[in-house]
Amino acid sequence: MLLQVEGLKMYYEILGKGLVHAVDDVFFSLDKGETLGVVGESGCGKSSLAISILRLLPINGKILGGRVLLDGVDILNMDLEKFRKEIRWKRISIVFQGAMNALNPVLRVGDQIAEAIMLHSDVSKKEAMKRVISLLEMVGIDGSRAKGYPFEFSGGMRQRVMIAMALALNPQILIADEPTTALDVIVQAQILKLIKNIQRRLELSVILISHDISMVSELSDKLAIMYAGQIVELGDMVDVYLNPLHPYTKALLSSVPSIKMKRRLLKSIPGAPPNLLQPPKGCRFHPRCPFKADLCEEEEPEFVSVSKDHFVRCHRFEELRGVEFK
Amino acid sequence: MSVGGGGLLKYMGKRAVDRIAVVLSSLTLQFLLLRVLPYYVLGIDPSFFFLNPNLTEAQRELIRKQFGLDESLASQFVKYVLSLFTGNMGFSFYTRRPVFSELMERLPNTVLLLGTATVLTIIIGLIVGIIAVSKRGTRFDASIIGSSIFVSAFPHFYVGLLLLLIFGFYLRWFPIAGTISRPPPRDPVIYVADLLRHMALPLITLLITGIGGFALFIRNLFLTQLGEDYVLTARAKGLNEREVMVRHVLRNVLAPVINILALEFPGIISGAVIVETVFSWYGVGRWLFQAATQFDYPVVQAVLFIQVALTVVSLYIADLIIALIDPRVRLR
Repeated sequence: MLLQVEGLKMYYEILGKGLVHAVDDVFFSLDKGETLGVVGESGCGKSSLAISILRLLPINGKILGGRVLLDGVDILNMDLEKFRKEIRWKRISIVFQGAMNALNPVLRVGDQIAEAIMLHSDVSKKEAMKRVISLLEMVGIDGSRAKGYPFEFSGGMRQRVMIAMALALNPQILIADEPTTALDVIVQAQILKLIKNIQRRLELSVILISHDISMVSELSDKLAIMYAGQIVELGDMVDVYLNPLHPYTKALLSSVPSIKMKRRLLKSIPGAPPNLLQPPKGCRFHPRCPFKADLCEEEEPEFVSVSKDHFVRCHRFEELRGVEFK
Repeated sequence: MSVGGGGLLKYMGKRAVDRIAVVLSSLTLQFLLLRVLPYYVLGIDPSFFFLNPNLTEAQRELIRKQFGLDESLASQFVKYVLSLFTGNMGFSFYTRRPVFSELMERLPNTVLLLGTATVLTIIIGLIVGIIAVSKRGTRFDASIIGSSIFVSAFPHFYVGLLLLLIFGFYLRWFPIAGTISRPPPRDPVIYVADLLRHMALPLITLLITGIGGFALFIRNLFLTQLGEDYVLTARAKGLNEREVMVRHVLRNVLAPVINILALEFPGIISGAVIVETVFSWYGVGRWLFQAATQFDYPVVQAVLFIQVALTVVSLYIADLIIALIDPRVRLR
């Protein structure tokens, strides 16, 4: 296994209010060349999960438990200086919502990419710029644009620049955190296609984070559904899509229209996501779950294995097999 | 389509026109407020304030003529603008001495007090602000915010009077007024020590009221930038905190900092009106206050003109620096 996340726990400390349970007991693994889609609504901890893996937490973000193994080595407890030099960007890189501000507005894009190259490898500025130009051309941008500033690029092109930058050091894992949010639909499709092509060509492992389950499932081999800081269901993409076990997964799928299936009314999930300062007792989804039993209010369900690659965090998934969300 | 030097030249040309327009319109406004409004509209004859009331009408007329008050407004305006630009600031109505030489007497005191205060405010404010932002969200940060707001809410004159009362009057640690003891000490070392003792309270007043606001400004500036995504990108690339600060954040906070510094700079010359007045400091700020209350137009005009001209020049330099740092600015 290339990457294994085991019981990762990351809380934000809010002065005078307590702890925000942003990432709570998260498990997943990622193989070489595999794409994991992480889906959940805003504030469920998806981005917190991404920045926890790269240890890019704000001052009040505290990792309180768990392990992250990269090729069997725990990178969570690695010396930060070593982690910064050997892991960040070199082995795990990240693409943020680039359409807005992920690039420094006052530096030329070529210099920003070259900076990453020169930081991690011993090359001259000239050689680095050569690599920059070939990277830009790989993502479909003319090499001469390396001299341009971010404000001279459109949102979609900026995202291409971000992707080129993320690939600068041939990392093993690319985390794409909402890579197409704030882009229009056509550009979205182009960016996704680009990620897909590059991923195949470079045998890259990708963690694709989004709130858009249908977009994610187009690219992913595996799907992780996140709710209130926890992964509630994890499995092979087709398996999760066709046989969802967790009520929340079922709810998400029934809120998305499909052009292939029978015409039906879309369903919404009643209620709102919980305040992660005080997550609900028991199962975190129980206040919104139509199937909740007494047990769900009392006891937190375990993340259990259903089959070899399919995991779910629900007390009643057995009884609810095949039952639709309503 | 990258932005070249032509864009910069064009931008700076446009800014120059803007700035000259600012100087001219503020000169016109000053002329209207100081020359036209009191004398021609409100009917206040400045000669009442400084002439012996027993003078004859002919003598008064002669004196008004001496000051050019008998000429038409238009020719007064032309003379006024020309003399300011040629550095001839005329004669004080009150002391009849050249404004320029009176200015030169006071300027060293003001530059000493305000220069020290400004430099210290900037350095201490910068350090406090950066410490606060690097410990953001902690109790330390919260207490810096609280105390900064607290002290910067105090008016200058109140802090000044309070310090005078406690350290000057009750404790008698510092003199309560003036720039130097009378007669001034002969020994140069004692002279400097005496000057510093006189300077202590006004300096502390300026620091107390200035540092808090500047530290908060710096803290918030950095905080806004540190929350930007490009900072996260820079960290994710593997840069250390110092590299992130120096290569990425600093360039983005520089523009507003340079603007603030450009606005602070003219104050070093034109002085602090309230603090200098409270402490009877022999400087430009107090001179401006006295001149304004005595209808001593040439002095008021000279000080205001210097302030406007310096502000415009230092802002223009700031514009140039900012345009060099931030390519987006040149396209405006």
